[in-house]
Amino acid sequence: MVRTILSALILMSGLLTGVCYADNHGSAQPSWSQLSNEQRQVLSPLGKEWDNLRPWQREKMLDIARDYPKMSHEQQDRVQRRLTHWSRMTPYEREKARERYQKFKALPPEKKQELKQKWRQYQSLPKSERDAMQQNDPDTFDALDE
Amino acid sequence: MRDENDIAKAIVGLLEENTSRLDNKITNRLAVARQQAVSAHAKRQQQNQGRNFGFLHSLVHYVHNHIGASSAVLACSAVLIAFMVTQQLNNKEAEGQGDAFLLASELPPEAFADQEFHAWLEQSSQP
Repeated sequence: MVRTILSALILMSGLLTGVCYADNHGSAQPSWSQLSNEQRQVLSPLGKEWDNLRPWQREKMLDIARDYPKMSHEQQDRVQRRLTHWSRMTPYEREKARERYQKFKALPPEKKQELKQKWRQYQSLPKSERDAMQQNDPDTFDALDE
Repeated sequence: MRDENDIAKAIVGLLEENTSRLDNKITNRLAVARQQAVSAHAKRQQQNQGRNFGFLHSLVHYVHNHIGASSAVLACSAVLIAFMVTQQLNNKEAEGQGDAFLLASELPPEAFADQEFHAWLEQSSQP
């Protein structure tokens, strides 16, 4: 009887300790000098602005650094190139990007390829042409902003 | 003080003297009644002591009497906490992985975030 209660209490305290650890781990706000060599290497594009990042931004970036070793060299190069731009995006933009990335992941390869081509095509459009499109059909553009 | 003691001793002496003259039947009935009174007093004291322990005592008492139900409640609590912890850790993992792999995706993050691009896509897909 006493043994059962004791075991249950030990189990619960262990689990609660885990929760506390997870919370503390999540709210870590290390400065640039406190990062490990590996983390600094991955996050090097953000070196100058790291100490100005908000705690939740640092947390997200540390998550990225954690997953970095699991990637191929090609993916790692992309991450390095895109990290600075990503850190400067607004929370709203990042949230939108996450939502659309989830949809993109679920697409079949040929659709992904098509979307990549469309992106290249869109980027090659002169700015004047893009602005003209927005003026000609403002409803479509406004609807996506909501 | 001394007077009181003397009076008490005199009362005890008189009672003992009179008791010794009592019938055996009556003496036995008195002994039984005394025993009952002592038991009732001991029980009352135990209950009062129990009340002093309050909630903790009640809990221990309840657990002791309902060991099966208590073990089930404890097991359920442990499972619930474990589930919550797992969910929290999984969400965190998925979110972090999402960001890392989003950055490594074939399309750059700005392609996903660019509202104009998606509006253009929608516009260009219309017949």
